[in-house]
Amino acid sequence: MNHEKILDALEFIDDDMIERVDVLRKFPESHRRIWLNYVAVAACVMLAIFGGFKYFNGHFATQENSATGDSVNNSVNDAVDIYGDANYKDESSDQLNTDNGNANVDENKEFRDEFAGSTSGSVCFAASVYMEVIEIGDNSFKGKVLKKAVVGNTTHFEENQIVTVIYSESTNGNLDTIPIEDLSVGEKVYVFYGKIESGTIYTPRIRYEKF
Amino acid sequence: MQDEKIVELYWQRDESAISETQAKYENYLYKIAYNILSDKEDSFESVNDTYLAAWNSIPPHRPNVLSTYLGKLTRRISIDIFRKRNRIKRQASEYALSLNELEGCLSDDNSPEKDYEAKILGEVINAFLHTLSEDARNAFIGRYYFLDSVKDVANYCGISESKAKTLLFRTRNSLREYLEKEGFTI
Repeated sequence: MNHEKILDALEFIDDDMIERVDVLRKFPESHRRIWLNYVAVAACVMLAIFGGFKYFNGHFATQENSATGDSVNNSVNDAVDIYGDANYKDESSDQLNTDNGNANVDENKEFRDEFAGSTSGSVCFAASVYMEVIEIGDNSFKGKVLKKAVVGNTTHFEENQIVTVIYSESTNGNLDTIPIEDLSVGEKVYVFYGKIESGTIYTPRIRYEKF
Repeated sequence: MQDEKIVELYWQRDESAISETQAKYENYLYKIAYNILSDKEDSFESVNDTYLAAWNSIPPHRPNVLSTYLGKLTRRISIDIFRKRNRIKRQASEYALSLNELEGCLSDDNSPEKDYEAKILGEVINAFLHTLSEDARNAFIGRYYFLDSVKDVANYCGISESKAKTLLFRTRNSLREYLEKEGFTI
């Protein structure tokens, strides 16, 4: 057979195969775009899986561990609820004496006056990969760590839910967010509690007394 | 202008169909022709012949994809021009001249037998191409239908030039085996 016949015979192959190559010739990048599409789809799937995991994890963690938005007491003294210390709880409740998330403790006013600049705006809660920017309200409270119990779960917070953030006094007077693991018993801490828009953050579990 | 409208102009025997075709597809057809002929003038001649062939064949044809249809015409015309040109070159020697004279004893290039044979072979090659991976198929069609350089084929298939060469080499071997299995002698 003459090899030229093969070239002639190629005229009779399916048009769709020719068109496919034709598109590649016109748009050489289309080949790469197909792969980009695959990557984009894979990324979306991964995001959906991760998001779902994160949501359900947060959802169950909320049911199990998180503070509710009803009371600042519940938020701040979550550990007390779990580990049990009726006297301490009462004391804390007295300290905070909250009403719809607004603390009426003298120390709070003192603290607000002293750290007015520090308590406004957004801060990052340094805890884990679930770090979120949260909005800190005006309410604050300072105390001393009695006992700490770290709970490794993350908690999903609903919009406008009241949360707590702990600052340590130990770093040369500079307040900074600290992971609860780094606290020591007897350490003086400042606890802020306020409302957040939404997100998942580490749930601090700590017992403390007023100082 | 959309392809359907251009085809419609051909069907209405409106001569603006040719100018519309030229405006839209001249570069595309020229590239196909130049890949075969490697000559500017011959390539333009081939493209002009394509417009005439399209004018003569539409109607009765109503191509679904005009670019593919015109590309086929250009390819066929360019190959014919290439063969004709080589025949003329061969006439420089007496040996070539005698070969050329003997060529007349064989069937004509455009005989129905030749077309039929090419069609049968085309169907076999078509079936073979469906057995290939997409990369191999695209590379093969790019190289042997559009007659693009290996470098160009590698570029638009998104593979390296060396890989394209290897792919084409293996595909050619596979095609030979396939054709032998189907009763064609190479």
